[in-house]
Amino acid sequence: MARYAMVIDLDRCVGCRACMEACKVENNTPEAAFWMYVFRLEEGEFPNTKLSFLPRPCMHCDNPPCVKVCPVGARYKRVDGLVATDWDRCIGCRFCEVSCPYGVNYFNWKSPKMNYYLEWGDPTVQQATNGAIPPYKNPDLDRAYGPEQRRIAGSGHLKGIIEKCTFCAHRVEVGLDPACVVNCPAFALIFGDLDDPESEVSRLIREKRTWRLLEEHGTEPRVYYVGGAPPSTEAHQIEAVKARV
Amino acid sequence: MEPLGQSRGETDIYLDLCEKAGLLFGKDGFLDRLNAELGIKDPYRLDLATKPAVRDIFDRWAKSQGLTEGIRFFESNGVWVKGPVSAARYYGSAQNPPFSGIRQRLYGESLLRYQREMQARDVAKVYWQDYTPFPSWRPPTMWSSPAQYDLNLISFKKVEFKQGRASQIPLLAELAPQQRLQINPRAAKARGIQDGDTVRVESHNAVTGVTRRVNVKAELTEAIRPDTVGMPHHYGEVARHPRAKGQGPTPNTLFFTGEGYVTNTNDSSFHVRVQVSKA
Repeated sequence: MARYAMVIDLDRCVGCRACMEACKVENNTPEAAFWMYVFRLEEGEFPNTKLSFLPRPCMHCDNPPCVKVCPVGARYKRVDGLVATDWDRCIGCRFCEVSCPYGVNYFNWKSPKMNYYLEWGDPTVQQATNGAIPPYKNPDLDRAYGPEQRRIAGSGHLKGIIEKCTFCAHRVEVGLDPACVVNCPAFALIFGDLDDPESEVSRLIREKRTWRLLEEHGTEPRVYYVGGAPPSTEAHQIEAVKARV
Repeated sequence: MEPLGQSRGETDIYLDLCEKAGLLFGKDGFLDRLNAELGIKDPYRLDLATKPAVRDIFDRWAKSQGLTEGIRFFESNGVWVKGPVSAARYYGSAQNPPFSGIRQRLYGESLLRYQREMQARDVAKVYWQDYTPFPSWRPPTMWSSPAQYDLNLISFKKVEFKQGRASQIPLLAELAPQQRLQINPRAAKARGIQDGDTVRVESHNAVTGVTRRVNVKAELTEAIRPDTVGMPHHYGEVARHPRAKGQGPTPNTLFFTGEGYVTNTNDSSFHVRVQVSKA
């Protein structure tokens, strides 16, 4: 059985946010919903200014607080490491949203169809897109995945449930990397199997100094950072995207 | 796929244009040339007196290539490029000889001749100052603007967009929804400007005295010098796309294209000095 993890090379990341867009198109997330978020951080005073970038997907923790608090078992940890949300079962209690120290969960207050970038009911829009709503809708998000055969990809985008990054479970199912990893122009995101000693993630974790976010909380995240440095307390966010995470 | 909205396929447009210009039919007309260029052979050759459907043209081409089912082959099977394509085929002109033998002139005596001719005819210096045989530095035109224009304006490209057409794409625009003037916090404080304030930026043309101004929101960042302000491209309602409304101005409004700024030799600094104040 595979044991998936992600390594993010901060020496390579240029903060272009292509991963945020790739995730959005692949997972059809509505406006302000960014499962992958890239912080652009600035610290210091001119001329000693330092800019750094920090991509932050869901950490898919080995000791996930969100799984412990889910009252209905909709949020669960798969054997291969992915922390998944069964959107058929989620009741929208938002305990996972409260418990996650990384803040990757968010709750759909309205039907996401209300916030899908364009007025898809508008006849001129429909004419321009030949009736497809939205044109980039991904049919793989509706299917059941994993040995448990639960619907965990794309999180349903229903009103009243919780959504978060799925490590593109629908892609991992067929041996592909998540959309953010595949679309990174700088090859800063690496995804793979920790149980395979020859995989790039295993090699990087073995050979380089790694750190993880908020390790002191004991969440045991599966997202490792190499290169760069943990953000200092002096760093502040610039060019924030209006997002719910 | 069908063309979206009111757009039309380019071949449709060419056929219509040629027909209206009287160039479509007959010997040496567009259809005759198509037969030759696409290698359409008998018995599939286009009839020079009938305007064909676009699909018909490609169907005849496909049949001439030996595909009995014509263009339907590609409609069913898609188009495959037989690869990999060798680097020499794509970049051959860049390898041997480099750039197909094109050379970049470093010393141009003709420029010196033009300069001397203009001087002999008493032409104003601003017209011949850049006709130097070697690339030579001179003080940027903007340094002659009055002292009240105390900031340099630079413009740059953002990573989210390509040119002006991308800011009307809602998914991309969400990452960078509005124009911002980047200004150093010290420079902003000295002018009573806080992050997010709307400011007026006024530029000055040191040759003609013309001034231009825009209103834009300020963004304070330590990543720019205190004597410089920066404004990215990609915004501005030049294309007047309804989804690009209200995003903010283009820095092009503040730049000038006349003598001293953008000139015939294409090697001068077009940057301008601006003054920034709270709007």
